[in-house]
Amino acid sequence: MRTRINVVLFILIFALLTVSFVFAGEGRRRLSALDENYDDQSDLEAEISFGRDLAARILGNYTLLDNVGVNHYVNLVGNAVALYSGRPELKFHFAVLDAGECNAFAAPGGYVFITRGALDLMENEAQLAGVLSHEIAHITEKHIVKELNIRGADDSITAGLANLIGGSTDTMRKTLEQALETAADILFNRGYKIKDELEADQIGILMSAVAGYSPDGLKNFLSKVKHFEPEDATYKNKEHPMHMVRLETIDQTIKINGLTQNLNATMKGRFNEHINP
Amino acid sequence: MPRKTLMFLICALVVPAVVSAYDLYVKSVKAPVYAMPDTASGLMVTYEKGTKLAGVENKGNWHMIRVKDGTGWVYRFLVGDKPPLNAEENDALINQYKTFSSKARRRPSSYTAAAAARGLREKRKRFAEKYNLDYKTLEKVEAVQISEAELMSFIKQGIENAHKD
Repeated sequence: MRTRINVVLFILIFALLTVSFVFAGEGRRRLSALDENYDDQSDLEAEISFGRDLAARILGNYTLLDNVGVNHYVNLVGNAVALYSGRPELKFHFAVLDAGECNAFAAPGGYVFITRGALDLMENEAQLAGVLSHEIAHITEKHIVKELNIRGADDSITAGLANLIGGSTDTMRKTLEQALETAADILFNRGYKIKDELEADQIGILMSAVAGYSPDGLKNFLSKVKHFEPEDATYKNKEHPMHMVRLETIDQTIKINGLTQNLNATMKGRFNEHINP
Repeated sequence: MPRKTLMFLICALVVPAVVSAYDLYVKSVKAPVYAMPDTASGLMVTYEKGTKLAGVENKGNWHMIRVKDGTGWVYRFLVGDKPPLNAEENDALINQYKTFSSKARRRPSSYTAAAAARGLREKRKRFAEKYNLDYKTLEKVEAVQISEAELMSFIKQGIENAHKD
């Protein structure tokens, strides 16, 4: 009888050991899937240097708004939200582009641009924070970096970039130039993948809500932009998700995550003070 | 084998199997932890940047973590599996890119350095012209400085006046 009990207990222990290993494996799997954000310093350097070139490309297409006060204020709002971006290794820069169209851009490495036209359509700081958070989320989730496989390893595009700065082969330079053109095409013409756009919406809302803003900011702004279409259709492009899909996703995100606090935290007064003095 | 020893072994194996954990670090300035994956469920505790946490499972935009009195939930984008880095460390990198000749400057021979710098300047100039890259304006954008004190004061003012509009 005693022997039988010991056998049963042995089997039980063996089964538990197996389960334990499986769980531990699962934990490791979750962990490795968790942080694809950066692999090493060279990847981070590649992200920043490529983003810097792309930001220079954006500024080559647009004029910077000549208003120190407005640019400073947008930097304050953007950096207040970016504190919750989970990318403390990046220094975020925000700037207003002097263009009447309603648009916003993000370049890897922490560069965010918004047009004067977009600011003109906004009613409060929560809407500005919502749009900036959406752009920050494109950076934190590395949408362009992943799509173009920007990495610091020797056989990557950005090794080409590093070599371009230090003197590279023509092939590497062409590869980099091609990547820069593709990134510019994503920003100016074809847009992000739909799933990336929706992910930026979700994370952007959560980010601005954690930073203390009304979670309705982005939704209210997008509703307003929708109202202005098709006259001002430059905000969207053919691959942007339809507004309805985005608005529904935002509603779901607010509901699922219980974002019922700070609904009135729009900071309208401060926004008007800086943007519409 | 004594029964007590066997029971102890079983418990020792059951516990880690059920609550296997993974390391997480707070990467945002603060990370609020809620009772459920729902911000309306109640704030349990707020951790500061750099705090090491024990993750239990992830669900959508959330991680379940161990807290003093059980478990809580934190947004996934506020934490990561590596300790947070510092943006200031990358300032040197940006400064390096600002100067076309920076790499050449490091070379031991001043003659080589000067020649390389000229070459690089030419390459970068051609590259910038071809693709209409405006580095000069970019440097203006990068020059906007927000001090930590100013940012904190801005946030504090926002919190104090959040519901006044």
